[in-house]
Amino acid sequence: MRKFWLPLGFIIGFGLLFSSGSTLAGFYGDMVLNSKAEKRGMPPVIFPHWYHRIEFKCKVCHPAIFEMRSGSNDIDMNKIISGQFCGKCHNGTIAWKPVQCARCHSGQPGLTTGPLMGVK
Amino acid sequence: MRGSHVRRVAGVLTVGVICAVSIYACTFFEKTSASPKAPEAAATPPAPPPRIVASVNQGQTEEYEDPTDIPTPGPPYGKENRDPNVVMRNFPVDSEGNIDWVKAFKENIIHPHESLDLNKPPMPPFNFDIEIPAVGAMPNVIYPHYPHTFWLDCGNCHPSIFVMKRGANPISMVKIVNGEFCGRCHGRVAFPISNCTRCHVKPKQ
Repeated sequence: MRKFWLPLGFIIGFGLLFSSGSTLAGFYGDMVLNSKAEKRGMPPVIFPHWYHRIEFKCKVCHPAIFEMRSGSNDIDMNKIISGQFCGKCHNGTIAWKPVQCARCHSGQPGLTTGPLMGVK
Repeated sequence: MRGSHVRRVAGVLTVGVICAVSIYACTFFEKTSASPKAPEAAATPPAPPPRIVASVNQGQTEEYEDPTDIPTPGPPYGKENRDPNVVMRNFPVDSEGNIDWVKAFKENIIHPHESLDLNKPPMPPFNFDIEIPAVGAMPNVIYPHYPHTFWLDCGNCHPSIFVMKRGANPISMVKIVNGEFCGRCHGRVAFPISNCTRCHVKPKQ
């Protein structure tokens, strides 16, 4: 019976450690874009709001480039490469070109379009 | 019998806490020893972050970074760091631990661009607070236009989300949670609704 208590203590300890959410991927405000990605064989896109907010105010992109409603922007790679949506900046002059797929297509399969955290 | 039971439970909890603390300490020291420059950088006042647009316009011809690289602490954020815990380690946080973006620009930690056109002057702040009555004993809401007009144009909210007439917007917390009114941004990309006291600030008389 005595041997039972020490492992139990370790289990509780690990539980306390990993329940703190320190290993959680993503950040508050990240958006998942997956209305087309997975259907076309790519992982979902994770858009990090936090990163773009450091450099640009909301009004730069909303509502002129992106409408403020998840799923209401019909984005695809052809449009991005021809300079619409993300391609307004991600064209090699303002920000990096969309040539490294995994920089944006970084989500886990099965994510639904919308905020990664917070209210869906 | 009862006493020994209590002692056993206390022992288990103690072992658990000691285990958690020791593992946390190990990972913490591992992190600090892996990046010895991090404490020095944290001690100095945060420098304004470099601007992507400006640095590109100055003709830097750095190639794209390898996305598999482990980010290194410190600037330039745009090229190397995409880890929020590294980039935003000096950013102010609110009472819930979320990044306080309003404080960040008020304290000159971030300098976001007004437009893709760098010559466009910033819009003057619109310093106009609105008191919104709250239900029951909840303190009333003071809605500050100032931080909102820093980030957004009038057209982002008016008139599609909020009609510009006092009393014309039937706001309720249920609607906000369901993504109407304030909930179009708050709870999704702006600070979460669980932080009651950031909006409900004015106690009733």
